[in-house]
Amino acid sequence: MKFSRYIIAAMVAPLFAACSSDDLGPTIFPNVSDEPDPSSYTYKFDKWLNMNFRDIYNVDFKYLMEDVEADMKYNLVPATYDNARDLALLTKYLWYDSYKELTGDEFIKSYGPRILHLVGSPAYNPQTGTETLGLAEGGLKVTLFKVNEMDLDDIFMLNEYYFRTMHHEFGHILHQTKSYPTDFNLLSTGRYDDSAWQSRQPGYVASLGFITPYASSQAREDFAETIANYLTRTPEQMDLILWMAQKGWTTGSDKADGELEDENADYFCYYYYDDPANVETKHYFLTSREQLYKNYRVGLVGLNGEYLTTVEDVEAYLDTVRETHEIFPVEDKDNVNGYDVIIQKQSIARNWFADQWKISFDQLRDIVQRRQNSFDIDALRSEIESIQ
Amino acid sequence: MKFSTYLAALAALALTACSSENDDIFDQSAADRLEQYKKDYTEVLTADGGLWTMEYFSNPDEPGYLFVMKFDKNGSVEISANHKWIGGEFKQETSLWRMIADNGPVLSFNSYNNLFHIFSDPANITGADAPKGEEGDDINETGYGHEGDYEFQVMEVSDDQNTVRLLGKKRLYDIYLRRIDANTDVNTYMDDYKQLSSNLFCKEISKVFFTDETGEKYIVQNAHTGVLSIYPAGGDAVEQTRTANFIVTPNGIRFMEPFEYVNASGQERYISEMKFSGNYSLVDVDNDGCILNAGTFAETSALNKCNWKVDMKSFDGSLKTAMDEWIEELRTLYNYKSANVNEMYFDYDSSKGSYVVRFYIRISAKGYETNRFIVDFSNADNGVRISCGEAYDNDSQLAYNAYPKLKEFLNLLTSSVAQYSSKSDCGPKSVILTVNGGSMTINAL
Repeated sequence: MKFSRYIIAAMVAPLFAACSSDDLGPTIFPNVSDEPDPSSYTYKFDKWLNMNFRDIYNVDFKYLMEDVEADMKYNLVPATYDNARDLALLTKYLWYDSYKELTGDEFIKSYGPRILHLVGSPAYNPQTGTETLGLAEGGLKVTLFKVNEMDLDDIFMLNEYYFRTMHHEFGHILHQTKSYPTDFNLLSTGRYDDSAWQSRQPGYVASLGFITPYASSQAREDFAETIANYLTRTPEQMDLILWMAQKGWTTGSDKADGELEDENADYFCYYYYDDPANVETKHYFLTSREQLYKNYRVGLVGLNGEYLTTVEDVEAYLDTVRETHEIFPVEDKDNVNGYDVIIQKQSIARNWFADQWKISFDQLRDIVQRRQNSFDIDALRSEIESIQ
Repeated sequence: MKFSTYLAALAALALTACSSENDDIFDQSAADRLEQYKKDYTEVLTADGGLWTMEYFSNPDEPGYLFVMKFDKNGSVEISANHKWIGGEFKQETSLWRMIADNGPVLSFNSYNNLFHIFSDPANITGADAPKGEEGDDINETGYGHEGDYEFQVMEVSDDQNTVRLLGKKRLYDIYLRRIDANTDVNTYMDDYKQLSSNLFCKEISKVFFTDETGEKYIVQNAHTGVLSIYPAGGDAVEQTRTANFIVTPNGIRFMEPFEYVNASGQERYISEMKFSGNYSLVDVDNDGCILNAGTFAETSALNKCNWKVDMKSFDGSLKTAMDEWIEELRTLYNYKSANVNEMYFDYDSSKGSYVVRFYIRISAKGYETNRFIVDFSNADNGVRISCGEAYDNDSQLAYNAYPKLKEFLNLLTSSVAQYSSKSDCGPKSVILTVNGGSMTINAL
């Protein structure tokens, strides 16, 4: 047995050695220029992409659909040319140039993705009723979906689907490069729900210490959401989330203390009595939504469907209800100070940016906010049009 | 024994391991050949003005759709369409295309075009034509949509380079590109196509006949939807039904996939394409003996049991004279100048199991009569014989006796074989009946 093993080893070794002296020879791949053809319909845009993404950051900006770049389980369609062009301009202005303004070219050159891929449709997950807005893969590629629904006149929609997604996915790339502190994971241990996050409501998750329902899916998404929401949410929207985080929330099912509420039910944060002498006339009101149809803002829904998107509006609304009823806040029974947890998470992200990346989280936020509130798409488009 | 087998296998491997110095089978590398194919197919698509029709299928539950595409060497493609999902109106939109190296050379429409990519978009299908559930509720197709392709492998180019067979990359349905004259007015072309496809079959005559080369007949249903079902005449409409979707082309119809039917002898038969013959009958391109049409007027009426309404303004010749004389008779008889034969129908009466000719007559300011007579349609040489039987009821019998001109009109209608014609033998929605020097148009309801 031992003998045969030696024989086999002796015979196999030359097999590998025998083939090792072959020359590689010339490349089998054709020599095709990757410079845009001046007669091409997309020449100016392609040239602009090369100048602003490829040549500076070594980024391949794939605005033409390549299904091999996407998960084949999804049914996807390409982006429209016009929307792809506009999103390329905004990606540079709001993402790359924001970091460049703060850190110079090198940071985003070193850590930015190498491929940006645009997809026209959402990546629907029919089984869960959710849609994927963006993907970051291995620090190399970021995919942005739903490009065909982009409405440049709706800053909240742009923020919801594109700007926040860019910073969310880049947050993943950064923490995949340099890990965030494990302390972050401990802040919400036991409160993540990877399978049912989509049925959770923003007020309820805020009181548990999550900035969005998606943040409550798992710790790394929580970290990316913490970064993206801090950078892109307007101060009014952030204030509203923190207001919700300080409330108690209930479905009104009068579960005993410690018993889990039904997470598919509506959660309310106030109640009143039709007849104060009769506890049976108790009514809960004011529930939260991530957005109403085509109203891409976190908000609270009043008794008659009023959609309230700032703390000021909510307080004014509560005053009007007080005119007819004595109202009471729902007791906060979750044993979590949601406000403090969200602030702690932002603090960890702030320190991580400072320690690991030498970047001021707050300065970055100021730059991002200024840019997303003041971009001039016509001026940006002229960058492409002026190319010869 | 076992060890020596190993040794023999290894020795064989040792002798073959370095035998990679085979002569090249191809002159160029695979990558070079693929690049060359991309160039060649780009040249084919953009040559001679680059104007093509595309016969497109998205899934087996919908008809095929026709697009006109103008491929430009600059990477743009102008797509024209008038399908129902964009409101049925002629529209054009420019987007991008490219031959890419993927599963071999692949034609990719790689920027979104609202007229074309709607069939690949995973959004829920909405609107009046959206698929409905059993209770008429909207089916939520979110994540799926129409499930059509927008990337296609190039499978075959005809020798004259005027036909290209594509294969949908994900769904694997055959899609055809056919070159058309670069000077074609696309709007007119699409309008003519729409007229053709909407006139070929009709929902009022929802059942037509397929007759195979042995003369055996099959019932074909709902061809007007673009998804027909077929079962043997006299067979089991549930158990023996097969369905097949197709596209109307300028030359006939083409099925998404060759559809199978089983003839009386139990033989499996396939049809992939049918061409126009005569007055828009359809014959199998591989077998002239297989014909699809509505049959004779008598057969169509018997099969569909549809009601026919006479266009009262269409009377001509002797029939117009006879009708005018009857109306004049009514005006004299009732001393009412507005007396009239307002409407005339050939209704199928299920209680009698036969057709009934029905006249709706105005005889005074507020008085109306309905007179009905049983009729029969039967095949006759090159036409239909309309036979008039007994009055449907007593009132009709009294009218028959009271109006001599009615008798003359009915006699004119039934005393000779009537000739008939329509725009399409597959969908005779509107039929002109010509008899005894007169004519009238009847429309299926």
